[in-house]
Amino acid sequence: MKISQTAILRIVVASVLLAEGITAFSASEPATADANSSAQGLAELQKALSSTTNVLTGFVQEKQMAMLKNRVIIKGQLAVQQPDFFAWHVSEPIRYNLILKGSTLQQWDEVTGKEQKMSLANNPVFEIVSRQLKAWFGGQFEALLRDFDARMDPAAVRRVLLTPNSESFARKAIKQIAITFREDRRYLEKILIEETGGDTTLMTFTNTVLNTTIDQAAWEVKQHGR
Amino acid sequence: MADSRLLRFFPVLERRRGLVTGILIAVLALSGLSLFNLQFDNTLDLMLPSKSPTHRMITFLRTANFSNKVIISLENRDPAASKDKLFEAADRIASSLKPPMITRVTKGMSAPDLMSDAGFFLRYACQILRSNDLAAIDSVITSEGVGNILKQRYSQLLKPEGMFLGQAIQTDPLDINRVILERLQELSTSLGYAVKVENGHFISQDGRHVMLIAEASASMTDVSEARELLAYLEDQTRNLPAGVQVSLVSGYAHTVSNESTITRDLGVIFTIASVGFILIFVFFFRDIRGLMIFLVPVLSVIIAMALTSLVFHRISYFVLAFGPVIAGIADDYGIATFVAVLYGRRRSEAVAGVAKPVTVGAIATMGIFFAFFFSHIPGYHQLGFFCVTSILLSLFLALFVLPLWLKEHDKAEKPGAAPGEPPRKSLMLVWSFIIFLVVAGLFASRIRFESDVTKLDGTSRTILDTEKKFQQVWGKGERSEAILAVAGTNYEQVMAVNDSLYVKAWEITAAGGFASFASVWPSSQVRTENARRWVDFWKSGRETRLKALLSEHGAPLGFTENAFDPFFARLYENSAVVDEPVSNRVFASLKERFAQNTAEGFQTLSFFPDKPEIVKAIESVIGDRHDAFIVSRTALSSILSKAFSQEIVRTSCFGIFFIVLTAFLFLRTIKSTLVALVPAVAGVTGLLGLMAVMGQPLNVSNLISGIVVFGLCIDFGIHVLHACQHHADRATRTAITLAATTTVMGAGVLLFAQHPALYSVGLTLVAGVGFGYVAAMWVVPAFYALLWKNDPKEHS
Repeated sequence: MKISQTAILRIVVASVLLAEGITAFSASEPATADANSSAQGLAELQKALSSTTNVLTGFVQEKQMAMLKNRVIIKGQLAVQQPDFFAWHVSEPIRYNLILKGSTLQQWDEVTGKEQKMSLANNPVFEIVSRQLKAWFGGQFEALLRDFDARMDPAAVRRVLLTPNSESFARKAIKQIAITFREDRRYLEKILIEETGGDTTLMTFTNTVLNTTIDQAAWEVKQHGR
Repeated sequence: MADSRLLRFFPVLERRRGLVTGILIAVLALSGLSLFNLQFDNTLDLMLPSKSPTHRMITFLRTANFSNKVIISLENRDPAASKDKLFEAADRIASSLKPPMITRVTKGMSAPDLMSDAGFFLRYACQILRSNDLAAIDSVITSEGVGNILKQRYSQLLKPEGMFLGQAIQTDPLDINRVILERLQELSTSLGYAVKVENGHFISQDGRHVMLIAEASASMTDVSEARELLAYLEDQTRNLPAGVQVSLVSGYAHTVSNESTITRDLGVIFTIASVGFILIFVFFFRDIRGLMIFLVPVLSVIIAMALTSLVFHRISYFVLAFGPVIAGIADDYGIATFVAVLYGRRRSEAVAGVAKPVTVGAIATMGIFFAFFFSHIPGYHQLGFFCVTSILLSLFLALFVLPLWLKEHDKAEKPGAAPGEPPRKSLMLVWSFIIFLVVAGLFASRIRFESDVTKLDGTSRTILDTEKKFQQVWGKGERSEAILAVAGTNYEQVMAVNDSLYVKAWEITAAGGFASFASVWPSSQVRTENARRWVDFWKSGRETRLKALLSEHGAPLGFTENAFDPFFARLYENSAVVDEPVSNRVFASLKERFAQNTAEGFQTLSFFPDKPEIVKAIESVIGDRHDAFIVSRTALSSILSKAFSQEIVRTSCFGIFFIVLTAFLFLRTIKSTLVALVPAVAGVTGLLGLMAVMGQPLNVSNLISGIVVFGLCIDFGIHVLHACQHHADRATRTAITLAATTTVMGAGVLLFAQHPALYSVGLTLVAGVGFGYVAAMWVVPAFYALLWKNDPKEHS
């Protein structure tokens, strides 16, 4: 049957596309974790998070990259409405908007000035990135556990450490993700992403409002942000 | 003179009736035994013109589709259930499938490993990129070009995707790898399947289906092996967790289903035909000896089938299904003999009386099937051989064996009154016939030809529905793509030809997409040239210029001075040509699809949109090369129509020539011959008109059966005209009515067939012979009454 060969190839190519950003990274050792206790801890967090259906929050992202002389500070706003709506608006240093509605992705940036709309079904790279964004910022830990081994940080009670497992697409790109929860555990306080090459990204969430009515404008990719 | 020889010869047979019977029984026993070893072929190959582009295309598609893969699709019926349940079920099935039945199971791939393997193509970009790619890179190495691309790269770092792109930007600031990635995406797009990898499994876009790919050792054309394999798979996929449902998709299912459909059809056909024939003969003659008429074609068909298998080895089911049809045709000779003896005085005299018209009728019918030998379709040769042999044997048995067992009667038929209808009624009948022809002809002109031979596939609805559902979940595959195949015995030569065709075809389809292995892995010679060109390109000052531009435009954006050192450090790596990385899974997967081993050597496949203008353009690229050809489903339709039209015209011309010649030699005048043709014209025109009214397209089966209709109907015409001329009205009408009834009966049983090809044959013969019979019984006598009314000489 032709189907088998084509199926394999489809997978291969999807993975190849994904590799665009990560093939050059060196391999990292998969972290070991006590999956059961992590799952239990995460289950408790998941339970606390389950009461959160909508999130509207500001964020500050600090990127420390070897190829850049200075630390980059990115400011913006993030909106999540379970299960299918996700918005990422950047206001500084450049304006950029990304909207996920179901299986459709729309984005615009001021550098190109172009608005782009695509189906995630046809774009494996964005499909995976979108899935991860929803999992990280929407608190979907069941989805996270498929790609990451998780454990509670013994040094901080509200912190979870995620390490890409052997099957994870992110294994060669990400060394570890540390998620710190708010005191009420209903949402995130900050995320620290350590890349295998040594670069780091710290995202801090500010002015977070939970379960509020989110303005329809948040789900539009129009040219705004500043 | 022939009749008198028969009169002398027949008493000799009568005296040795026991010996004749003994020989017949011996031949029959031998034939019956040989039937146990009969081998059948249920592929469509036999029914396609050989040595034609059509045959090459269909064979290619069949072999491409029917490899040894079985797709196992697991569905989670409970949307709320975890995917883990699906993964566990898939793992359990995968581990249960073992040799010798299943040689390999692919359940998924590790994404990180795949990424690592896919990186191979990016590392060897210097060998893959051609001169036009270098020209595109050169156009970017300007102040404006580098400035723009660095701004884009910087903005990428600020987006969510930037978390994965850091080192990619350092190693490829100009985004050169995108060219290769786009080509890989082109290869992916050409496949039309939507699959993701999750947790090491192939998963559908909706996340509710998991796919396993099993490679089987069974032969696709061996029904018993296919049946055994499917039973094994069914057994191994039982007892799944609640809510998990399994579907199997494979060519094996088609093999088994086709065979089951045909076997079931043949059982039904032969049973109904046997009962029907027996009832007709017994009811018609009210004499148990009428059964002997039935035995004549049955014995002939058995012996003919044995002889056909000796000559052709593997017989098409289509030929076997013609058994009852031939029985319905060939019993005419037995009927004529039986009726003649019934109404005659002595057996030998009765036989001598019918020998000539019966032999002429048999020759005319054989003429149709003899014409099949002039076709390029192997199945027609089989059919021709089988039918001619059956008819010859039936004729022999009807004239020389059957009468030996018939009881002589004393109710001699008295010459009847001059046949034919009263003039006014005859005129009305003739006009009615002409109007019928015009109306049917008008409808017939609207009929369309169905060239999609796959619609004659007898696969069950359940299997087709399963495949339809599979396509809804996983995508439709490459059905909308045309294929450019390059074949040869030497791998590097095939790759080199593929390269040259790719370069030309790419220019034509640059906007439309041309997915070729050459785009990511050219021949060794081209890779060597590309690598040399790459080194020359950068060493001719571009390396230095790019370093300066990156430094100049990178600084304002905050890039460090050595941000892009990794790119320059790797610039001349991998410029030495290497062997194919056979252990690289991505490479192996691509090669398996786009560059394959074949029985004759090697072939490469390239995919492009199956649009007439693009197919035509690619055809011009191929020119008159014999080592490359296009497989296009769009083009196939028209090529198939053309090929079949040529076949039908050729076969019909020969068939009609033989039939008309026979009729002319028997009837001696053009006028008589034309009148004898009336039922044939009525049968074929009426048939085509009826099909148009029913909205049925004309297919291969209809065409071949249409020729048979022509021959049978002219046979009726000859007999009725002969009867009119010899005033032998009653016996002949009786014989013709019975002959037509049994012919329709033999063909009519095919209407009970589920297999579309057999059903089409049945429909054609029943409708055609029906129209022909009506025309023979009423229109031919009307013509006779009008045309011969003032010519009493011709009456005799």
